[in-house]
Amino acid sequence: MSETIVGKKVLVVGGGIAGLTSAWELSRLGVETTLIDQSPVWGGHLARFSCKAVETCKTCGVCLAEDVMERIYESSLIHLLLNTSVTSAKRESRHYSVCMTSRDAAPMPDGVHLADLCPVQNALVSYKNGFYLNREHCLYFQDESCRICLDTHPENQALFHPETQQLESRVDAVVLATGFETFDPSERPAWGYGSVRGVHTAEEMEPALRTNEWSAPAGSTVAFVQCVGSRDKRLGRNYCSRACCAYALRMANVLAAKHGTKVTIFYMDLQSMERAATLTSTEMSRLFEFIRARPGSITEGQDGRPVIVYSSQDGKPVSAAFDKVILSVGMSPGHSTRRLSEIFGVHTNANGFLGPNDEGVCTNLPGVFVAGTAQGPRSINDSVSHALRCVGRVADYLASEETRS
Amino acid sequence: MTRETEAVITGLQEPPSRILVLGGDATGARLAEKLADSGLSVVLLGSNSNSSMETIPDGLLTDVTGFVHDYTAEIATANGLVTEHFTHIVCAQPARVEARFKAYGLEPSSQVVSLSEFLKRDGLNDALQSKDRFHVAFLCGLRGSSRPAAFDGILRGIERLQQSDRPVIFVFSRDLHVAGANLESRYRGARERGAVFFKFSDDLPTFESSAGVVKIHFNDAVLGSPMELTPDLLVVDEEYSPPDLAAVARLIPSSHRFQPFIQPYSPRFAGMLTPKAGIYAIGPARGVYENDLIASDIEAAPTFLRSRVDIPGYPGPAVIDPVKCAACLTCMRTCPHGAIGLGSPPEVHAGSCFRCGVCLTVCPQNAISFRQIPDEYDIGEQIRSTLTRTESASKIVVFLCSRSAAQAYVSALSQLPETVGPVVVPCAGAVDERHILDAFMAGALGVLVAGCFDGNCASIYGTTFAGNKAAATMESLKDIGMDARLVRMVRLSSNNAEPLIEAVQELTRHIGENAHGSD
Repeated sequence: MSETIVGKKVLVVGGGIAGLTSAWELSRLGVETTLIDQSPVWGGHLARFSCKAVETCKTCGVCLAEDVMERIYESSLIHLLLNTSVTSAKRESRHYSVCMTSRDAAPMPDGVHLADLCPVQNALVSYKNGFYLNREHCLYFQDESCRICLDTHPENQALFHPETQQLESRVDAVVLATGFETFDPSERPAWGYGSVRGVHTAEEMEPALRTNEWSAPAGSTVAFVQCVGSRDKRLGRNYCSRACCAYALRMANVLAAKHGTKVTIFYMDLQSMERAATLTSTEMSRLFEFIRARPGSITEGQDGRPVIVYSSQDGKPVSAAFDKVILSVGMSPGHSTRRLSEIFGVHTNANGFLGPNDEGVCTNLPGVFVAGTAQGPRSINDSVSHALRCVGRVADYLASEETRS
Repeated sequence: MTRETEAVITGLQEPPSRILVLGGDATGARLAEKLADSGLSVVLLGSNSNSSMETIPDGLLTDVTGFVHDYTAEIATANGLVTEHFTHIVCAQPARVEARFKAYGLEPSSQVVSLSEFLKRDGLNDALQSKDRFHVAFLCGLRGSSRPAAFDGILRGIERLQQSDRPVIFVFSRDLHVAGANLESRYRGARERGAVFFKFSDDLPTFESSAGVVKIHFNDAVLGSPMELTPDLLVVDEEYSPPDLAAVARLIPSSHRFQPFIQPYSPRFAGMLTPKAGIYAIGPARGVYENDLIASDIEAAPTFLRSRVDIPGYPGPAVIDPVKCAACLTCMRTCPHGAIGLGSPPEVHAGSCFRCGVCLTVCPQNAISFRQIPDEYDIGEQIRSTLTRTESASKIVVFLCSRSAAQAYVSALSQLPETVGPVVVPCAGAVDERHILDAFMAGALGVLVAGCFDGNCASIYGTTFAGNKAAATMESLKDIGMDARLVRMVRLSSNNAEPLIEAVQELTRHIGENAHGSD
């Protein structure tokens, strides 16, 4: 079987953990892979997430992206394109002809030196083979207030004005690994997101934790609210996002153990189904207060702090004020997931994600597969497993008659 | 093309592989069939299969020795012990499933049955068959831990019962584990069709047995009053645990760290990998019990295995100097990857050596080194050259684990002072007391050993060893009247350099204060 797939071409759309894993595993089979991402950095959500280790590893898996990236840069079978997105796709006999628009930048020729000069953090992102420009942080792309890279190294000119290129690629198969977007909690005003100071989504906490800039004084109080935009039929979100309980517990543990924060967790059912419970239940009940309730509303209290109103177990209304409220927002099919479903004509499943209703990786189209959270909510570790499953099916497909020319 | 990829591609043309699948139920059989379909030669143990592959349905693996491509398995069969040779072994045994009768203080009876028993039945028993209306109660994770696999089973039971409108269904649970495919919508469906769910946090239901009939006592928080229910059928949920993997675990000296599973629960071991080359884990063997996730493992397996079947190992494995070796076997007993075999001197199996360097530091004779010359990890040479390059009075040597700290170091370059001299080591576990002392001898004023967090080490306990070595060196420094705090272990991950930056700042400050103190 496998001899026939060497030299076949696959396009992987999305450079998060599922896309990275898919590309790497395909390259191991001798398949030529083009990996694209619309953003200026690799890693997807993981590029923004912080390590949740406290004394020991808490198996969050955020470091996996770095791990796979390093290997990917060593593979000559993987063609990497950042700032690139699919504009159209057409099936032609046994191939897909995919058009992309790309303004990918090469690594900075003198990145190490420039990183010393760069006045902002994270504007030059380092990876094994060099430094890349992150337009989101670079001052030049905000208001042109900094030109150090250009003035000291005029040869970098091209990187600052990369022309948008139209690329066309003929591939044997496509893997859609376009990931998820977090639910926007302002959809329900009662959560107070955007209107009450101190109410944030969990993902918004990540940059501060990643750079260790979390500044709440020890003893301050934080409430996590689980299932925001998950398990909520009224919002048409009749699914569990599966990763947020463990995610919140890990983050809560960092806040409690590293920063002395007092954590309260509002939950319906804790989904700590992982094998080696990241935190044991006794450890958790010592560290956090658990309240089984779904908050009715989050409002601004008289002292300006957010107040959560909920019903106690016996049905009485209770109000509690916290310094900060963190909403554990669920996963939604991302914007690009919806766009790609239109471009390719891939059917979405009952929850609006791509592909089948079960956990499978095949879509309604031959040669188009889905991997990771593009198919449905799952954890980092499960996304890796799903990508491996996807590669298994892609390899079968590539070896089958359908791609033989 | 990387060396690894190249090896895979050429390797695939000559697959003289013979893969042993440890089965026990339909999962093992399905996996073996998938592997066989993809052209691999497979022997299935413990299960039957309709396909033409070789099977030993009544066989039990009692012992196994060897390395990838060269495993010798001792198998107990009805006709006595047989010895067979395999290239790879896949652990795909079913989970051990035990009903929680004991935990709830219940006895199985015609009224009280386990979930598996209930699901196996084609229909209801005669007593229920004749009733117009009857009560079925499901227990779900009231003791021990529950998982989506169990809830999936309960929902299957409920969905079947709800095909008729005669049963009244109650579920008694703590947390409902809905984090599986479509479980939430099925749960809502079951409720909308009339199933009643009672959830408890700490005030759990109790069971009273009299004259062979079980009654459930419970407090419902919403109604606020004690209630009781005598179900016609009480379905008891089950605890899942991994299969017996002892025979395979003996091959992996580090397995005591992750038993009863055969795969460490760590981001480093994605997919089916275990620390030992040629040993793979599917489903329950790695702590995965959900049907859809097991199906995922099975679908991924043929390609995953194929792309790893012929990897000749990392270049330049460790070698043991037969002259220095005292055959104490410390290396063999310590190698986290089970890459060292019995012999005098013991032999490093090239295809199994992950090149972590743990054996180099545990050998009391210093008899082990890496084969590749020039060795990119020549630690002594790195120390000398890094200190020559470092142009400052307060030189700090930082040993960097290649799997975490080295990446973190690169990303933190602009925030680290020029006093820092990096020395990249394969795993922090490769750093020995003598390396740390070498660094001081060569002019370092302080030493940091930067490795992974415990639980994240790709060589299981390499980072633990590193911490121990650093602590031992601190003791040695104290013994000779030096400042023990000039040596530190720092733990970090590849995507967070903060601990390294902080440790460097602290050590620099400490060295500075020390210098003033001695004035």
